Amino acid sequence: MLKKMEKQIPIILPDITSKLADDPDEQIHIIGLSEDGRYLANSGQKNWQGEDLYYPISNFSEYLKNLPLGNFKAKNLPIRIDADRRIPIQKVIDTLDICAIQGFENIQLHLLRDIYAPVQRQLRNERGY
Amino acid sequence: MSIDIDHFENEDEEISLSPLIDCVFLLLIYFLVATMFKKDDKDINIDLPISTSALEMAPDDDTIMIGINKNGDIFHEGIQTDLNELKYAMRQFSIEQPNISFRLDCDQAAPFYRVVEVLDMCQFMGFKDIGIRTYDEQYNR
Repeated sequence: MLKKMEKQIPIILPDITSKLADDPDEQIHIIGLSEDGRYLANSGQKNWQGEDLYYPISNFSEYLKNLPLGNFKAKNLPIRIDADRRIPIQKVIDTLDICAIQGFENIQLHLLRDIYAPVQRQLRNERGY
Repeated sequence: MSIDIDHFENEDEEISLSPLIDCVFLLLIYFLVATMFKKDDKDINIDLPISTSALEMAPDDDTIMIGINKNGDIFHEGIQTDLNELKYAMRQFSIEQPNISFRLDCDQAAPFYRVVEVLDMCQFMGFKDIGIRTYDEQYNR
């Protein structure tokens, strides 16, 4: 009997090392993905608690198109997606699809809790409520 | 004295086809029955995520299937389990079949942290061949 083909996303897991955390990569581009599916760009700033601050991206495809590549070709530029831990897997796969369409293949996934919370807190503080 | 030998006595003899047909039928029945022995399908109620960049891959009967439904419940080969039991099962696999492949069948709405927990466990146990299955329109035709 002929077997049917299946569609899969192959996952390459990083090797186990004894390090507690990876060395920071200056070249890596960090994109946040909040629980409600909002794309966020890392502002490079931190709040007084040391949390990264993000700002919303209105059009993710356009954002990727205009990303400064530096010395990288698009597919080699490392992109790290910091996704909220409660986000549905479909949203993460959609993000990977958009990255693939724009030619980015070096994607890393990180898990964060309440990624947008520091920004929301800051906005609340600024607005005084 | 002469002996009259009739050289054309057995002229009408031919190979009987009945045993040959019997054999062919037996073989046919054997292969039909043998191909029916499939692994038990233990379905779980999930809607696979949709991806445009997923790759077409040949399924492997030896692949270990791990399911995650929309509530984040974990299934091992169709039977609901938890992270501790899955960890124990993976430890056994890592000893007996360290090169075995894993396939994650996740619901579209499965929480990402649960998928990462399973991937982390695969990484910890040293498994390399892992894939997330996505919906394929052609598969059910």
